[in-house]
Amino acid sequence: MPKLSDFFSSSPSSSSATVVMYNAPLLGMGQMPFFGTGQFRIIVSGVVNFVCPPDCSRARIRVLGGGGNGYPVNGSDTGGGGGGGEFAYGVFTLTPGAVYAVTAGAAGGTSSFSNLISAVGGSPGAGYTGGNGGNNGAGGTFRAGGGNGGNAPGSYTSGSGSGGGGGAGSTLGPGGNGGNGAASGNYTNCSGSGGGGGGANSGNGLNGNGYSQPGLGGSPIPGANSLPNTMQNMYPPVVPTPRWNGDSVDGVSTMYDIGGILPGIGGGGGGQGGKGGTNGVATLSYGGVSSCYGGGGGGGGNTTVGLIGVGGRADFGGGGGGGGTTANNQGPYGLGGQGMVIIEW
Amino acid sequence: MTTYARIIDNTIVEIPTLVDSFTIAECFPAETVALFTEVPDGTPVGATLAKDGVTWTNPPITPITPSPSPAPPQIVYPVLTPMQFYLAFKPQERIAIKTSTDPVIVEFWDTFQLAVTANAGIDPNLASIQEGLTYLSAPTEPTVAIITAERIPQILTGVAQ
Repeated sequence: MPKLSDFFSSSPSSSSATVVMYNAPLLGMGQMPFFGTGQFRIIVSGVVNFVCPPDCSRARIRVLGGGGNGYPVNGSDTGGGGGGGEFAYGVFTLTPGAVYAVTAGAAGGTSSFSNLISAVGGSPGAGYTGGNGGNNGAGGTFRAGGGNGGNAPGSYTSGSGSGGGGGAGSTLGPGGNGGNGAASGNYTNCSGSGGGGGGANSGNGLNGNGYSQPGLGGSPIPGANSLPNTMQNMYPPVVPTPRWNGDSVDGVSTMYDIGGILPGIGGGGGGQGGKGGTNGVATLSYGGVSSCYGGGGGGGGNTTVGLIGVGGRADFGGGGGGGGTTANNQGPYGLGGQGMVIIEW
Repeated sequence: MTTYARIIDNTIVEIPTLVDSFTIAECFPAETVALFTEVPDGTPVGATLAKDGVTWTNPPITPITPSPSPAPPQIVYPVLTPMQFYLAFKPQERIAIKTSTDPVIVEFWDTFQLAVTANAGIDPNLASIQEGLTYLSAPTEPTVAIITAERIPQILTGVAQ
């Protein structure tokens, strides 16, 4: 475990002034600096009684609301994407030995640490309308809302697609909005919309053009709407299954942000939209490329009879893409990313 | 237990799961509590409120992928250093433990000494630790109790006495 002295050093100086150098490690985009003793606990999608450790009188707490689910379409239809979850953090004085209620919201759920800080989950897609990103939480010193889910075109036509999920808020700022579903086309020329980037003010998802070109996820970089495919592929996909569902993870940070357990803190681009088309196979699209505070999942692509468009699923906090569309079947909708609470002391 | 919901445009978008034994005011900041409204038990997410302001209609489509059920509340105690665990006992409790001739208590003390020697952390979540403390509070006769049952969670959290 790093000591305080590892981060500060005194250098000899010819003058009488003491020069103090801050040897801070380089932080990745959106990562937060070392805090306290470096110990932490991560709680994902569950409710937990947190027993404050004896050496925890001051803690930095981050909360991330869950992303809203995409709208579950029925039959030949399209659906709006879910909104991204809100993000917030703050430093609080705690009482060692006391028990605090911790709520890590599931998809669309609000996350909180006791009555000190909260982050509201994104709303689910409602029919053709994308869900609003989470906001209006309380407490803490920094807050960033989730991006809105993309809208669906309003009615089913061959080639139409669902909206992408909004990205989660993060240390970088509000999440990007999911792309709106394509209005029309044909089975061989359709694709899902991109999910919003996590924590990027302008990182909105972009629609694809044809099943061979899925929608692009929003970029985590403010001002950039999407990452080129080649760059997206540079990031390893985040494991899309619940990693610590209902569980908690303890650890001690060794460097940078919390021990490297959470990759790419700060939000990555949203997932690509699902492919569609006569010959296209609907693909799951996971939001949050290299992301902890996830980007939104891509919207489900359109498919022909017998194939099912599947809404994209987000990683933590991002909204899921809207339901996939088929000619005669219900497309599974994209699931919103889970909420999360991180306690560091 | 009262069911609360967050409602947008007359549709329930969230039903929070509360931590057992905590009120909603203890689980969320006051501004967030204001976002929730009490609804009838069993009303699901996606239900819409009719114009009469009373009747709830369930969503037309049953979710095809069930959400993961919330995990039961759990208490996870932090790992303690041997000194933190030692100081969690009151002086008279420590003396009584060290002078006891009860073989169970002697074994408990010997195990603690091993942790001290190895400078290993003491995990209060282990059954052996919790059972040992339970025995200290309710030993087999003729041994008398050294701690009260109320002291067990205090010791497990490692709060110095």
